[in-house]
Amino acid sequence: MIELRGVGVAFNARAALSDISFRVERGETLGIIGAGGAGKTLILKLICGLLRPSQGQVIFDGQALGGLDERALMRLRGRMGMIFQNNALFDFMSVGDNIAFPLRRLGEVDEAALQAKVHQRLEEVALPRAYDQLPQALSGGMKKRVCLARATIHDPELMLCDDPTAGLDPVTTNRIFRLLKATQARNRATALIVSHEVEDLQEICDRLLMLEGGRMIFWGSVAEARGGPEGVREFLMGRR
Amino acid sequence: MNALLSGLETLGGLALFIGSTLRAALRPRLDAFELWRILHRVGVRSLPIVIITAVFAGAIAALQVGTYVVKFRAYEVVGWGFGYAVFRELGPLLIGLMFSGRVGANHTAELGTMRVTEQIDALRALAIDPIHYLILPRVLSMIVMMTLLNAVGDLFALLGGMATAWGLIHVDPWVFWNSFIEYVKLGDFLNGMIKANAFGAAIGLLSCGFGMQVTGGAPGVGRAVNASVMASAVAIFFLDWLITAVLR
Amino acid sequence: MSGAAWRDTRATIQLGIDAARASLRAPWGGAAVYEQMYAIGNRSALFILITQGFLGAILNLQSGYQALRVLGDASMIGEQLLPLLIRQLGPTLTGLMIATRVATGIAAELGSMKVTEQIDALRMCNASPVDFLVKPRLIASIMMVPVLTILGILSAFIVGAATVYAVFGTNPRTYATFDQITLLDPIECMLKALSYGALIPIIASAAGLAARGGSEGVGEATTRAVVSASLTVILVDFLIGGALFPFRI
Repeated sequence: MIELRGVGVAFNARAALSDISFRVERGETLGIIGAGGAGKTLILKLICGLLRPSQGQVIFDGQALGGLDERALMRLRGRMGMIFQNNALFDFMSVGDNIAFPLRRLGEVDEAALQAKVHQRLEEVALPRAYDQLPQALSGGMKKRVCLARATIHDPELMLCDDPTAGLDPVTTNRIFRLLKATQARNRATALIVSHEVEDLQEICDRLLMLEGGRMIFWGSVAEARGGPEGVREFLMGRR
Repeated sequence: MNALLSGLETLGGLALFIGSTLRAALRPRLDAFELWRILHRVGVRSLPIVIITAVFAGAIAALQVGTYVVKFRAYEVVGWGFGYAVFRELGPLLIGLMFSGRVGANHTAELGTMRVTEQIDALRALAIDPIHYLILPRVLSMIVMMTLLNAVGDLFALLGGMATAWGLIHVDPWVFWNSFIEYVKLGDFLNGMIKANAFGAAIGLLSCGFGMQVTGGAPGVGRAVNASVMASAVAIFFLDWLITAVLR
Repeated sequence: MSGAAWRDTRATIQLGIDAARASLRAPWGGAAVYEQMYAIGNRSALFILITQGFLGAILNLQSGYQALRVLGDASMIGEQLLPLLIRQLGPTLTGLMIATRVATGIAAELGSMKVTEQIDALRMCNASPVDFLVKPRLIASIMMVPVLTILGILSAFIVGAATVYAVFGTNPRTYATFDQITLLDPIECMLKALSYGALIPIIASAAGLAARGGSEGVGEATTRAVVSASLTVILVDFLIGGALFPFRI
């Protein structure tokens, strides 16, 4: 489904990511961990083509992103959904319009079907009455759930989740992860999750990737990580 | 109605801010090092932009004065018309607007960021009065630098004007210079300097005032910069009019 | 020019090309353009009226005092100033005010969207930021800046006439002498207004879209927008004025 081959990213000749190579199969869940500034978000933005690598290749479903122009990338992004660290809800649109936006842009013209879908999705994230509200009026956890609904309204094959529980309390965190997992299971989607919630990640992920200073220091299954090199083991136990 | 209320709230906050700044200015506890740092920063940041603006202001003025000069075949007064227009009016006005964009907007953004990231509160918690520590050096620096830069700007505007007059209407720089020296009085220069001084004070107080009132994260900072440069522009035009009418 | 400034300039030019291309493709109207016309036009009108009104008062006072001193008569200043107001001061000071009001507004808005990842979110939703955000602003600004310029000139003219009447006692009828205006003056005025209208939203959008970091980045983008836009207005004024100068003599 996704493959990175020797990918590097540099800003002003300073390397932010270097020599990243891994492969994720369809339906798998990959957790990406590491300290702040290690380059976790960059990996997600590389995969959806929001960022172009300085070296190496990103391959999505057999297609190298490097040779594609923005228009072709847009089409590919229609098969992905992204949950942003800051939610990135459009503050000039109501919650309902935010969630409907990807469908509208992807050419859904049947307004009744579209509305039904948005309402159903709001129901699923337990915000049945939020349709007409503005994002600014919502709490952090509610915004995250709207963001999740928007990212998955078009049933994407690939879910990119950038710290989907940042700044949330433990109960809400748990709820978001369960929602994520349920949505993923329904679409049989692949998911990449950047998070600091190492406990939850160990539960829901098939594999883990750990970054340090822009380099991969671990790649493997959760079981391998638990018994893996000291740095990874300690990070998973929150001792470092 | 809501817009009116929030407008009045901003205005009230601004009035209180200017009041406490002026009160603090009567008994300033200035950190000499901080003042020097800000003076340096304001000067260095705005010098290039002021020079470019001044050269073009001079060029534009020479072009427009040139139109009249050619029409009336009055080549011997070109320096006078130019000097009068630039020193009294166009120079301080354009430099003031540019200074507001470069330095004023910058200070609003900087103070606004400090506010939304709670740095101002942190200062207060350390028993440091932000008015004395942050605001006074900035306002003072903007007054001093705006005045000094206006003098520098006058010089460069003169160069830009002479070059344009020479290149476009073929007025010998020497003729230009002579008519400039002959007719333009010290009063014209000083009139512009007084304006620059007043503009500096207005930009200083308004830009800091809007910066200190920011609420609402990154969008709030953007909105404050927008409001700050607009208020400064209105203040510049108003003061310009006032000084022109009073000093003749 | 430093490396960063050169990179910013190149990005701005690239955005200008992209936005121009996007604007040539239909649709041209729609709610987004209409909304931006309101934001750029209607919401700047009062600001333009006030500042240009002061400009009219200042301009006429300065020239009136000078005419009195030299010629002993201030009755011809309307006749002499109107062409200058139409071809230069009107469009350029209005342009500078739009650089102040509109450029900071656009940069603040797009900059906030950039740092809160809304621009990335648009790109994830098959909505190109150029089509979706820059194009309506460009079209609206090209249409509204000339209108605002005319409004500004009218404001300066009316306040100017009133000032001259109040201070020098010149009859407004005498003041409103249009003999010195040639066809070239309104042409120069509109050329400038259209250029400012096209360039200001591009410069401001480029500054906003280049914002990085949090509130600091937005502040920086806004500052850059007003400075670059104002400088561009002054530069374009000189270029157009200089290019048309030979036709005046």
